[in-house]
Amino acid sequence: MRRFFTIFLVGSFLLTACRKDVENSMVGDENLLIPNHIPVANYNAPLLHQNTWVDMGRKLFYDTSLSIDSSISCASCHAQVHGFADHGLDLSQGFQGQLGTRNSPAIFNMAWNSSFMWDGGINHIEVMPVAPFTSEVEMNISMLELVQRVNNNPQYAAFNVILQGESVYSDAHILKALAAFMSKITSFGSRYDAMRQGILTFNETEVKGYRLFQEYCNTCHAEPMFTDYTFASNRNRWSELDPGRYRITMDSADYGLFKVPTLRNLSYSNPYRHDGSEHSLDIVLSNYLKAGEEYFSGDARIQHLYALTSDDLQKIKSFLLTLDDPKLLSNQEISEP
Amino acid sequence: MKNILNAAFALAVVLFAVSCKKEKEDPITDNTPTVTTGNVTLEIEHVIQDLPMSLNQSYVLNNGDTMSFTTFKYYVSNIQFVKADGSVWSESNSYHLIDLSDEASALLTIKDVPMADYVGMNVMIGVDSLHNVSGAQEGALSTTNGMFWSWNTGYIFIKMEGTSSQAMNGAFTYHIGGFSGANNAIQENALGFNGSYLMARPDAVPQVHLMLNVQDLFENGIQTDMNSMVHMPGAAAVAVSSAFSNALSFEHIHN
Repeated sequence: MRRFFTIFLVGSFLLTACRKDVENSMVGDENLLIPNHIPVANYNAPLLHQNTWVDMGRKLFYDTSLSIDSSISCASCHAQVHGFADHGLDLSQGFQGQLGTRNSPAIFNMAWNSSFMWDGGINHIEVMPVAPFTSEVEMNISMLELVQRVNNNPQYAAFNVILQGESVYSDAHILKALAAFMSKITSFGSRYDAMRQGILTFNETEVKGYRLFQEYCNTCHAEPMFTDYTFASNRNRWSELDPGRYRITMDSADYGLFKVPTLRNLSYSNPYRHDGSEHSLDIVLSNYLKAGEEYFSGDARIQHLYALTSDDLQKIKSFLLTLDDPKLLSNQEISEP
Repeated sequence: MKNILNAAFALAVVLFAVSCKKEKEDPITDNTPTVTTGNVTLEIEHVIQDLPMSLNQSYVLNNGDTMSFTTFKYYVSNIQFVKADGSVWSESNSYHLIDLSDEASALLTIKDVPMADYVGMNVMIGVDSLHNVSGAQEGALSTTNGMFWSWNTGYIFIKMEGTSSQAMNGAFTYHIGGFSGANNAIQENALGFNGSYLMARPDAVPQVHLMLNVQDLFENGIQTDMNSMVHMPGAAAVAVSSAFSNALSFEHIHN
């Protein structure tokens, strides 16, 4: 019996060993400083560990020549100083100042996302940038032109991510490099994260706010990423002009629903909501007290929030501010090269 | 007991080494001295009025429609050749973009087909669901080919644009795709060789000819007067891809 147990034990160890070999798992990667309370990322970028890909992605991210008139880069609407959201604008300005229809999201911790954009229409981090590149109101460049510009720019030749047998960069090289860099834009340096690691303790107001948060908010804005990646609305979704998730699924049950945003780094990424229509955290929070036709007529998961008091909201706010991570704004590894 | 443990461990280490090495081994390096494979060419003929179809040329169909095509592109993928016993050989990385603006794209070379006699083939019109969720890809699946939806991830399996006198605005646009649930527009097409054999040999390059009857597709399959614009996944897209797949048939083989 003991022999069988031994064989079983050794066997399962070997299975695990083999699997690890293939998966390139990010678990326990000291390079990325991912604390233990954070789950495994959704995107296990095999290239993430190779600095040359990350460096190329970083240059691409900050390169204005990737918009058709060389006016804007990814960073124009995803600025580090704003937690990789836009500079306080409701809607972002793309090619020739044209406005998009949705608020530019703060793109940190994207490797944990299962879908991208407010409507979740994009299913993979590597193909995510194709949308802003090719959108007529954003960077307005064809993927063909973009590939040519990268190959014609001698500064990119230095990255040497080209594999054996390949002579030029393909769109896949460029997109994987961007995905590798975006995966490096992580934010787990908040006071909340330090509290979770036992490095500090919250003050009394923050503790109360945290408890209220767990009781009232955590269902959708689930710890520790502060989103459950579902689609929801905290308004009457039928009053939305933007069909949201419906645009992707064509299912009326999804009309007016948008991805639950993370609540990390709120101090840097205002305004809020998919349309940038709520300009301060106080406005966002106070709207949760407005039970009525315009508010709460959608998601059953927030129907009980009207029971909160203004005092409760202030406590929740003090907790939310513990989710700010100033290191995200100062991390030079992800700043403009 | 200690000996048994040691033996078990040694055995396990050996097994581990063998099994892991196998995984990494490149099948190409595992070749034997004798060549047992050959290449096959696959030609798809696009036919209107019994003649090869060209872009930007006007055609009058039997239903009275006057049509011309400015764009005609589609994916053929997951090609398999079928033996008489039902076993199949599958082309690896089998993704091909046929684009009528590039005549050569309708002539595919299928490499390293194992020497055998095949009685039929399977082709997919479109791109399998896995490769619609796999991120950035190379070759036929590059995003530079104009066959990729950026805002609602997925490949455009079939792209047909042009003019039609019966269409409401005189023009038609069919961007057909969709890979999940009821919107799955992927078409798997089993084509028997009607008693002929595809004889794959090391010293020969047999040719399989398929025909896409574009005339039949627009006379009996797609109705430009009813629905001249389909540009997202849905029931209409599934109907177009189904009709498209039905218009594809086996013609003949030159061995």
